[in-house]
Order: sequence, then C-alpha cells, then structure tokens
Amino acid sequence: MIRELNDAFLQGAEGVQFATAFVLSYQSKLDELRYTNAGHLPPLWYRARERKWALTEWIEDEEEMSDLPLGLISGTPYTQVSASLEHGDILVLYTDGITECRNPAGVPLGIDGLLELAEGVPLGLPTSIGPALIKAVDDFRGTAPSIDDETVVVLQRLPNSPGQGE
Amino acid sequence: MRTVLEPEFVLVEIVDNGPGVPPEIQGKIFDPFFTTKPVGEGTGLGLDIVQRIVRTHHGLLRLESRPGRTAFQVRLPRVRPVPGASQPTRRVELNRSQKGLHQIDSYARVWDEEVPRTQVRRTETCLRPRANRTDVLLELRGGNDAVAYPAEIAGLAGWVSSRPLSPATHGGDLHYLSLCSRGELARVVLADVAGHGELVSAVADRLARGFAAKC
Repeated sequence: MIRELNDAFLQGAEGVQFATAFVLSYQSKLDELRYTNAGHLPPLWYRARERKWALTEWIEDEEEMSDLPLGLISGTPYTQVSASLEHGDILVLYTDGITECRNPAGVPLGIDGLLELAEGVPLGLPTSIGPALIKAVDDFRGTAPSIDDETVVVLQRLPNSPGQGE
Repeated sequence: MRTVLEPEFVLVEIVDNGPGVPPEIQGKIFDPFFTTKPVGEGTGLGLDIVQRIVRTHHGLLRLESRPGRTAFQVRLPRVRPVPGASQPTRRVELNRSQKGLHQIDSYARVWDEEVPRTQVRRTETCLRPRANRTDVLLELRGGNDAVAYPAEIAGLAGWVSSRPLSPATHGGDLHYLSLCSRGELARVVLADVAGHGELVSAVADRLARGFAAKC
C-alpha cells in the first residue's frame, strides 16, 4: 500500500512533490497495531504499564524507524512494524508544525519539548488529552504566530474494545 | 570535490569556501525538517535524505566546517560484488523480549478478505460517512479545513485537531481515519504533503481510494 502510494506520488499526476506520512492499522480482534513511518516524525507513545511517555523510536536503539518520505525514490522499500497496544496505551501522532512552533523568544518546541508537554498533561481519554496537549502547545507559543499547519491525532485503546472476546 | 581511496572506504568530499555552517546548528543540520530557509522555501529534508541513503549503504556522513572551508565527507564501504546476490533490503532488529515488538514482512496482504455488509456500530462524529460503500464503514478526513473532533473506531478512542495555516501555499497536513472489516479494522494516516494546498484534498481522495480497495 505504501509502496503504491510512493509510486503514485512519483507519477506526479497531481503535481505533488512528496509527503511524509505515518500510516497505522489496528485490528481490534487481534489487538494488533501495525504501522509504517514514511519520513514522518516519530509518534509519542504512552505505555500504560510503565507509566511512561516515549517515542515510538524507543523500540530500537540504533537504527531509525522512519523510512523515506513518499514521492522521492521509486521502489523505496517500506518497513511495517507490528506491536501490541495495551489497555490505556496512548499514541500521539503530530506534524512538524507542532514541534517547530516557537515561543516568543524564538526557541522551537522540538520533539523532546513535546514529550515534556505530554508528560505534563493529565492522563485520560483522547478527548481530554488532545485538547490539553494543544493548549500546552499554545501556551508554549504564547504570542508568537503559527508558522505551519498543525495537526495532532491522539489514539487510545479502549478498555473494552468492540470485537474483544466475541 | 575530491575522492580518496581509503583502506575500507571510498571517500567523496565536497568542499566549498563559503562562510561555513555556524557551530550552533552543526548538530542539527542532519535532523529531518531542520532548515534555515523561510517557511515554504525549504523542506529541511535534503541532508536527512542524504544521511539515510548513505546509512542504507552502510556508509558514513560527516561535516567539517569553519569559515572559509566547509566539507561534507561521504564514506562508502568498499565491497566486492557477490554474484547472484539480491539487492540489500532494510532489516530491522527488534529485541522482542524487552520490547514486545516484532517486524513483519513489508506489504503483507492481510486485509484482503471479503467483508460482509454491516453497520457502523458507533460514531461520535462523522465528517464524511461513506453512504455508498459497505466495506468502508466510516471515513473521517481533513485537509484544508480546521477541524477538531473525537472518533471511536475499532476499539480505539481518538481525537483529532487540525489547524491549517492559511493560506496553504506550501502544501498541508492531511489526516484520514477509516473503519472497515466488520468494524474491527481501523486505519489512520497522518501526512504532511508538500505541494499546493489545494492538492491536499486530492491526495486524501487517492489515499481513501487506495485503502477502500484493500478494505
């Protein structure tokens, strides 16, 4: 799928140059999360069991988990990673407009900064975590203007997922 | 530019005599999305991509910079071609015992099963319900418009906020959430598309078509 998207970008039928993308699938019955990172920033992952926020990249010590963005090189191989989401685990996907936002002094938030903001957000459902994280980003930015698109997707495995135990 | 044959590497060095890379950003220039150019003019991906390509070839990339002499050094390992060897593939080593993760083959065709007609079990917000499809039960997507909404798909509680910069002159963010396979499979995509802002929706359409076909 990702390879096809990459080739579609390269065809340039719609004039698109390239895109970074984080693509994930979650099968509730198997409790299986699969994801591919095409040059996108690493999502934050709250591990409920360890009560700790980290980057998805923490699963590897040395190698990068991100593949090339879409639309750069034909035939680029993309890696799919499979993982288990535990109850209460939270994933935060975001775009670079979030991490590149700057405070009035011109200091960019950065990935580590976003991680720190996430650590300061009260745990709960995505409907509370998401707005709280956005507010924390806005508070960091203060009066400084937005300089890029900003998107955040917060996902959490529900305690009683549909399809579980059927 | 000069090339040097070293015992274990081939060195390709690209040098200029410009003002150099300031020391305070030398540690950042290989980071993805880092750029000193104004918004919309630089992607910040050039050196990141170079680094990835060099790493893929098990090479080394190094910067030496001072005013008057800046050198990017690319070292690629000297290897003999192995007859019949296949192209190198990306390999991921994960420590399963510690990290509970494992790699599966790329392009696994695991969701090609036939999906019977069914109903959406629960949707809290639905931007674009797929009324004319039975395989994709729910589709939420956004590109050029500011949105914030909750969604619950396949046992995942979700919340999305997208705030595009207006006007979108340099592309835009797009997100896509779908639910299919009897309500058991959630797909989520977050992408940052370079190009014209108007094209983001077109890319989202293509993405949706591609996923629907495999749903």
